[in-house]
Amino acid sequence: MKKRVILLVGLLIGALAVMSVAATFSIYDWWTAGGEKQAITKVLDMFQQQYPDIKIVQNPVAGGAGVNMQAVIKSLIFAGVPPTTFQVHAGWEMYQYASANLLQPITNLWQSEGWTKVFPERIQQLCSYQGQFYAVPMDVHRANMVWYNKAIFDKLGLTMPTTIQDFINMLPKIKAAGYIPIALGDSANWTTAMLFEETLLAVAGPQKYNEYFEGKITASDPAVQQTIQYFRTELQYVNPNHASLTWDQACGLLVSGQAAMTIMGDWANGYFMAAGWTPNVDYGGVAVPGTEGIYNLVIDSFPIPVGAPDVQTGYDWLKFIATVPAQAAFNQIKGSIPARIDVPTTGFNPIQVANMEALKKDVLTASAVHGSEAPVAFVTDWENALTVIQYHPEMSLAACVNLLNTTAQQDNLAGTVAAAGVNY
Amino acid sequence: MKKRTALSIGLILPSVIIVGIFVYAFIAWTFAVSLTNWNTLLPNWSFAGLKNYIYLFTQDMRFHMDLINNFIFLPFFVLGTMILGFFLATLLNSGVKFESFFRTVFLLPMAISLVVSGVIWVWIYDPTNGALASLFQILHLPAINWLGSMTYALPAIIIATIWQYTGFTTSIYLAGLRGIPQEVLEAARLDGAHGFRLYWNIVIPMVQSSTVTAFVLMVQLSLQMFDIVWVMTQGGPAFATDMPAVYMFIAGFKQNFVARGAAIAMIIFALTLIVVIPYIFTAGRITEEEA
Repeated sequence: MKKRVILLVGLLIGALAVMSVAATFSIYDWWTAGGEKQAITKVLDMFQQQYPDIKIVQNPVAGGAGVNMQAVIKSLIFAGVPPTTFQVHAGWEMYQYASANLLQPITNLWQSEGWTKVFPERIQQLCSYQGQFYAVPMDVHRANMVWYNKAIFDKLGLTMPTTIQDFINMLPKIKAAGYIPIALGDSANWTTAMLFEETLLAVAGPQKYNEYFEGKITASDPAVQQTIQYFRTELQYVNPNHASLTWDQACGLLVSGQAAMTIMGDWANGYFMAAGWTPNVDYGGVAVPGTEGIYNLVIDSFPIPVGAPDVQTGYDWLKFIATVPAQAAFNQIKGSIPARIDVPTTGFNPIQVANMEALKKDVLTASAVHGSEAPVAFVTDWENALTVIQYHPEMSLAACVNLLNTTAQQDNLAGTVAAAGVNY
Repeated sequence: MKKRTALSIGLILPSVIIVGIFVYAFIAWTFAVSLTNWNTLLPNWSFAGLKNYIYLFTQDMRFHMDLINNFIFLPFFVLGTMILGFFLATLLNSGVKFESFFRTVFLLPMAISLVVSGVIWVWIYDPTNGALASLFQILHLPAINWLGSMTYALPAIIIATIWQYTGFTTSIYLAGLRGIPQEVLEAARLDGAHGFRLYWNIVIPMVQSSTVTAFVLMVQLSLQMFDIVWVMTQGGPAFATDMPAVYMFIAGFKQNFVARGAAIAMIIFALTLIVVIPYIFTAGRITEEEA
């Protein structure tokens, strides 16, 4: 009897010892939809194969375009139990943690791994804050994309215009033919804000676009006023049930042949592939007219919070996701492209290949809607102001300008950007 | 006697401590935060006085809309759930066949997560493929873009939440109705009270404590309404369904306006107290009378 007890206790201690030896890698992300979920699962599997001793604990938090996960992360950090790493948009969304000294600087890692040579300079800026690197990019999404149903375009004899004015002029023709010109799913209002953002990029060009989000020019600028007018016109040509749909359901309107186009980031590419569509046969995806030669970045990256447990597993992860095979495997499934510019194009679909070429030579800007280009507090209020404009077609142009300017003033956009001292 | 006091204190103490920390200390903490300049990610304990409250009441357009929405939502939701709940409880109590089946049917929505029912209602309200759209088409009524309309989005949410919570008030009223002694009702009938008069003069006064309980709970729920709004509209379109609790979440956790979020929480708390404090006094009085 006594022997048995000793044996059991021994086994228990042994099991505990084994459990504590395995380092735990805990990761938080919001990749829960089709396509993106498969992509992260695939990469985590590859990571596990390379580091079989690490115990991976994945904590996906769905919903709210990452807002729900951010609430969890902030609570964990302040409770003193941060995870090993978490998904964050490079740029301002990451800056909020870096500026509060909640992230570990990883400049040494960037230099020793030679990453400064393989990631474009603008992406490096977005992953760093005041001279130190804090995050490693996993993918690059392009926000300024328009997707179109090829069958409808062929039937109506249309080609995608090259200027935003021609794009606007084309909308009534598509509507007259009985199709929804622009599919929109704004049950979460960031999609409406994207419509504005990409139109602004087309009208104002990259420099003014940056100046607007730095607070150096206001909505009173003629380019922004023109954008407001185009934006309101575009909204007249969207599906009536837009408020009930999500972005992917809006993409579904293209697949079902009801809508001709949608303005959406290249995560839509992942959706169309998952829906069984063949790129450049069933659907096309190009830069939003007027933004040819500009790449509006949305970057998912991973930092290491201060006080992260088993921090070595975090460094292993960062090194791993920066490798060519990991970047290739993840992005081929997700529809985005690698942040590295030296990944071979084999295995990517033609739209991704075109974007990979574009990333090397285009002017790189960053998406405000996706937390890279402007302070998070301002972006939230700015998106809401755009929704107010959307639902009040009776508002005069001056009132719209005034609303946007008040929002920027109340959130002290110019002051916040200047104080942070970040590069644009 | 002394022993019993010690025992009762020992039994009560753990819950007093837990409630003290997790309810009252946190309320005090939230109030303290709301008086600071903590509108950054990192704590900033510099004293700001009533600055956050003044901003909310004088400058913040979103908060003004939230209060208006909440005050429109509240009476419809509270009266809707209470009247329907009383009606259903009366039907269930009238000796209907398969009573337990119907009771389950009416109580079931309450058991569904608000997130799940929110998703279902989004589908019901979809103006092209939704269940309501099909119904309206059959009835030759014009299609309504429920959640995408400034006019209909709030009523749509009110209907969904009434559906969700009516089971709750039904169960409260059912318990109240079951508590009425049969002799009282028989005596009333012998005295000639029937139908409406029976209900108005006997039944409704006798379920008064259920009414008060349901009222307080429903008011408190409507002031804190978050889940179903978040799932169905996230406060949109253009703040048409935005509620203080939704703004509190966004301000505190997304925008890092922690002190502003705390101030909103305190305002919600103060509004709740307006109904809860009288309840505590009346509830005490009713119990004394019954004793």
